Amino acid sequence: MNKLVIFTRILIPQVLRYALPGLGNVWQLTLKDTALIMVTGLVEIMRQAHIASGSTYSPFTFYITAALLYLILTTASNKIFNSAENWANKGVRRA
Amino acid sequence: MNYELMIETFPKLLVGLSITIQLVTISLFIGFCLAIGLALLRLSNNLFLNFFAKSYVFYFRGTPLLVQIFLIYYGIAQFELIRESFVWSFFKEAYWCAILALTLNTCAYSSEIIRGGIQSVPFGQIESAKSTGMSGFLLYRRIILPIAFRQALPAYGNEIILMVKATSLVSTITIMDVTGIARLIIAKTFSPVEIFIVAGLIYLTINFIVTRLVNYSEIKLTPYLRHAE
Repeated sequence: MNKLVIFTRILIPQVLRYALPGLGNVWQLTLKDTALIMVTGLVEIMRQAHIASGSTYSPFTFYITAALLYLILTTASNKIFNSAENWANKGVRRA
Repeated sequence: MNYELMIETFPKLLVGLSITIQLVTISLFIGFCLAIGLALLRLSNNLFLNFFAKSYVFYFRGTPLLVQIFLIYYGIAQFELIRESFVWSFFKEAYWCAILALTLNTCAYSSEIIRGGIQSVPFGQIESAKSTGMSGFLLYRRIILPIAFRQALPAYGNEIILMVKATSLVSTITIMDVTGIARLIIAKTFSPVEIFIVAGLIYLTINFIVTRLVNYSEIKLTPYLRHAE
C-alpha cells in the first residue's frame, strides 16, 4: 500500500470511530452559533424572524417558530451523526 | 491602530464589567441549584418527571441561546394577559429577562454535566455506604454528590467559561454590559477594531482567572490523584 491508500483504507476508518462524536458536538454548536450572524445583518432564520416579528407585532409566534426550526435541524443532524457513528463502529466486535 | 483610543475606552468598558459579572454569578448560582434538582429528575424512575427533564434539556440544548433570550424579552410581550398582570414588572426589565434566559440555559447544560458525574460514581461506593446504614438524603450528601462534583468539575469549568462568553449576547436586548458599551462607543467613534480588541481582552482576562480558579480547586479536591512529590 502507498501512503494515500494507507490513509484512506486504514487510518480514516479507525480515526472516524473516535472523531465522529466530537465532530457531531462541534457541528451542533456551530449550528446554534449561526443564530449570532443576525447581528451582522445577514438574513438567516433569526434575522428573518426578527424582521417578521417587528412588522407584525407578534414576536412570540415568530421566535417560537425559529426555535422549532433550530430544533428540527439539530435533531435531524443528530440522527445523521448517530447513524454515521453506527456505520463507523460496525467493524468493532461487541462484548 | 489608535492606541490612545484603546487606553481611553478601557475604563469605560470596565463600567460594564460589573453587569457582566453580576449576570454570570447570579445565573450560574441559581442555574446550578436548579440543575441538581433537574439531574435528579432525569435519573428518577418516575416516567413523567423523567420525560419533563428530558424535554427541558432537549429544548434548551437544541435551540440557540439568542432565540431563548429573544423569546423571553420580546416574545412574552405579545400576550396581553401577561402585560396586564403583576409579572410584567419582571418581564419588562431587560436585566431580569437576561438573567432568566441565562439561568434556564445553564441549568439545562449543567444538569447533563451533573448527571454524568452522578452516573460515574462507582457502584461499590454506594453499596458500601448503604451497608453502613446510609440512605436517602444522607447517602446523596455524603457519598454520591461529593464524588459526582469532583468528577464533573472539569466539564463544569468549561460551562462557566461558556457562560462568561454567552453574557455578551445580552447586549442585543439593550443591556449595557462590556459588549453593549463597546457597541455604543463604536457607534460614536467608528473604530470597531480597537474597541472590540479591548473588549476581547477583558473577556480573555475574566476567563483566564476562571480557568486558574477551576484548576486550583480541581487540585484541592482531588489530592489523591496527584503524584507524591
